[in-house]
Amino acid sequence: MSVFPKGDFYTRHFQPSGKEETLVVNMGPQHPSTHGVLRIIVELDGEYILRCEPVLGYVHRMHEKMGENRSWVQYWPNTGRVDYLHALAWNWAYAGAVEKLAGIEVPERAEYIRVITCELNRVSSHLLWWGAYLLDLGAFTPIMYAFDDREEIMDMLQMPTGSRLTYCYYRFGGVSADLSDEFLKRLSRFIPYLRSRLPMYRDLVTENVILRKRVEDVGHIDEDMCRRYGCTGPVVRGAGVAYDVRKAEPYSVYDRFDFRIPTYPEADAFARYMVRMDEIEESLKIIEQAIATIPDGPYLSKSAPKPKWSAPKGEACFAVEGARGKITYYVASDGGRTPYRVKLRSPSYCNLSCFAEAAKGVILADAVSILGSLDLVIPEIDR
Amino acid sequence: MSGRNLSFPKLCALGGDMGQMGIAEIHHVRPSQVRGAASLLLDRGWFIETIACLDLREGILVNYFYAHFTEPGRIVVRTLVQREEPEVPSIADIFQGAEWHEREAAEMSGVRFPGNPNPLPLLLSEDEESHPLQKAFEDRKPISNIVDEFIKAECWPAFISREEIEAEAEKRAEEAAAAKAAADAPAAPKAAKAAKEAEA
Amino acid sequence: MNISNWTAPDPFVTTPDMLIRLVVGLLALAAFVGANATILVYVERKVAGFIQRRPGPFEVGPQGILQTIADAAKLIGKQLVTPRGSDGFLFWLAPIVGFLPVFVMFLPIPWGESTYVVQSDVGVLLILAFAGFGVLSLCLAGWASASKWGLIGAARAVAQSVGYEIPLLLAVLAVCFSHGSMDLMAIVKEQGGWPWQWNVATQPLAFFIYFVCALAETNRAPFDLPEAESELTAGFHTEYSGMGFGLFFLAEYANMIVVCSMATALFLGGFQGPAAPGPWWFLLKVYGLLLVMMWMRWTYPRVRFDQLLNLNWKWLLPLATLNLLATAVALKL
Repeated sequence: MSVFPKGDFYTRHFQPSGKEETLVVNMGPQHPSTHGVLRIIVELDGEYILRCEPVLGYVHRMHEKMGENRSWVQYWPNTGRVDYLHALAWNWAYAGAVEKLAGIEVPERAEYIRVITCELNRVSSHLLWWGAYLLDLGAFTPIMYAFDDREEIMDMLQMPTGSRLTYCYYRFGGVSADLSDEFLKRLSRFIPYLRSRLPMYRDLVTENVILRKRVEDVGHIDEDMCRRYGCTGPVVRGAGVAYDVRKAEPYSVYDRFDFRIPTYPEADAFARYMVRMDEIEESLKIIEQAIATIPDGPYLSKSAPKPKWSAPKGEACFAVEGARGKITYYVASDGGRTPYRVKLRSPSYCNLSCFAEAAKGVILADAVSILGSLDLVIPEIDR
Repeated sequence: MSGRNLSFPKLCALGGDMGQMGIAEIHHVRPSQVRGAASLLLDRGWFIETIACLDLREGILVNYFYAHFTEPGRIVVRTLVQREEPEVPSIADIFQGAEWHEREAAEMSGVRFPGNPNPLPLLLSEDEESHPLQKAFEDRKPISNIVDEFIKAECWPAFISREEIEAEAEKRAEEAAAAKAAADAPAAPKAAKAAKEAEA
Repeated sequence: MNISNWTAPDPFVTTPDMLIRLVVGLLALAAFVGANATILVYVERKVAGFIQRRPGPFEVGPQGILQTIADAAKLIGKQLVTPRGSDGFLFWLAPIVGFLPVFVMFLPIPWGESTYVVQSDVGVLLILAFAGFGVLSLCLAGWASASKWGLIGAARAVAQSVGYEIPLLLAVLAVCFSHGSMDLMAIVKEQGGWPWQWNVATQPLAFFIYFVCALAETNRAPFDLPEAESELTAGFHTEYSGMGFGLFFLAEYANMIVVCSMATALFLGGFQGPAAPGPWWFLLKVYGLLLVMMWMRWTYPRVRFDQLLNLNWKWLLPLATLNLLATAVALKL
């Protein structure tokens, strides 16, 4: 049945399966639970999803082409705008790739600063995800609590970075500003505070029977599926695979900290939920250790490139663990003023690509639950 | 080139360096060998990270990035397609996630992936005809400007003639000699000066 | 219940003074519903604010008490858009069908010893009968708006309302059985002033079932599936603008008052209280129940549609039936 027979390009290509009494609906681009402008064409049989297809590109900004026509240093602000929730991880991936390409040394203090700020950013990203996911499931209140705690993190990150959301803080060979004592003091007050909040979240939300019924045994994404689709981050850890770039390809000073990779073998939405909740605690643990052992020294390398710098020729790849999964920058240089090629591997993009398979045959409300459990940031998908 | 023994048909394999460039192994294959590589890698538990195309003077270099959940390292499977016939068989039936990467590469760089189950534009508008990541003719750089290992002559015989490779190698050698001469040049007067001093 | 009551003449309009009472009562109810809905919206937002550790509305008027008035003015001032392809007549009929029966449902509610509009032997039946209009309105709205989300919302509304009406009816019947009457006034009067004399003490299961079903019938969270905004954008009222949406909104709050009033009368002793029985006790209890409903809405996630129906058909319905049987057996003994 179709109320409006004419559709656009994608709807026309999304042929109904020929079954009687199915309904092709557009979920998005303006839909409350797609968190931005993601569009999913769904063929429904009653409440059940026969098949679906995500349509991307509504916030496509062509970061890769932009990389090719601005200089290495000019490209910095772009990196903070790919994933606005964990901007520092993208900052770091770009910094890492170019540092690898040009062989720039990063002072030890800068590495610690990067770890502290990136992990703090990860906590804020997970908190927002938590609130937004519960909003998808129909609970309004958690997002307010999450924003309350996140606000504190944003205030803190504002001190060294100067911005609240789309950070552009890292530089080749360090960071742009040192951490103040006030920041460190405030941060060490904040960690016990957030730790005391987490049990409350667990009691109020995680243990709630309605939530459990909504997320348990929903959206089965197992290891094999993760491999075929290239899913990383909490999605693959929720499938029981302890894959975390911080441990798998240790970068920076992560090998000096003692932290655990939370994994849950259930491979459902609840496993992914629990992975993220545990990761908040692990991140706090890392931050705590980093604050305790942060060395003195310069925060920016003396050999840090000047604005008119150009990288030597060659190619380099650098991956970091973002809040959503493995972020990889591939940069190729011909020695010119601008990168020859910048390739962004965004985790949300790969995680979303498995949605069509994961959502096949589930009820519409579960599709929303699965979509939320993948933790999508649309600008990161569209780049 | 570790003990991984990834024995799919290929032109050549090069060792990378995780510390230096973030890539552990580079395998050069013909376009027709991409699927074999993908199947073997899936068998061995590798997952596809992304597909990146480089627009070069010789053609379009299609890079498949693979990583592993438990093994360290990153493998790049690389193939060069000619601009006149930019076709690589799709691996979307092996790695379903590659479907989107291929669609993106297709619209951005103009490489075709026959066999892709849903060959629609993904990120760009459906009536976009150009391929934004293709470079203008004068901006295209030869592969040797970017990828050093190119000089290994067994790579790319399918696309680049032996003469070209040898010419390139000669040019490289000349350049290296010139650079060496330049580096030696300031040393010569110094040596003369030292000799003078010794005389005195 | 005496069978002769069924053949008795219509209890409403028999004499001129009855007619006057009805008209005045309806006018008073219209004012009451309007005022109460306004207050409730404000209370709901303040409660939500309290639960979410934020102030809630506080810009318009002292403590924001004029916020709902401002919102109502905005809704009234908005353009009414009839979507292309929709059935214009049914589309605008739906909110009216949803809103008007609510007044009738208020008629037999005994606010106080002498504060009521009509006293009917079939008061409970009257309310339940008119409650059925609600689902008709949602169905019409979803169908007529020519929106697929609206259609899914309407389908959900029908399945949910029809399903939950049955255990609700059975729970209410258990109370009616034990009192031998469907007259709300009589039921209230038979209960005492203290909580242990209320029906909730003798029929706790029926009260629980009634309350759960009432949440579902009024489409309140966690059972707000017909308008589940994260799944269906806004469900049946996706396409409504201005007062079209406003009427649905108003009807929802009016329905909440109705179900809570009925719960108060049936289970919580109505206007009876430990001291000085009167309408204030009634309103106090109604608002107490409303606050519980709000509390639940701002605390729980939404259930899934199949879970909602499972809960109904697999748990509430058998439980309500057993409860009714047990009540009947206990009465017989």
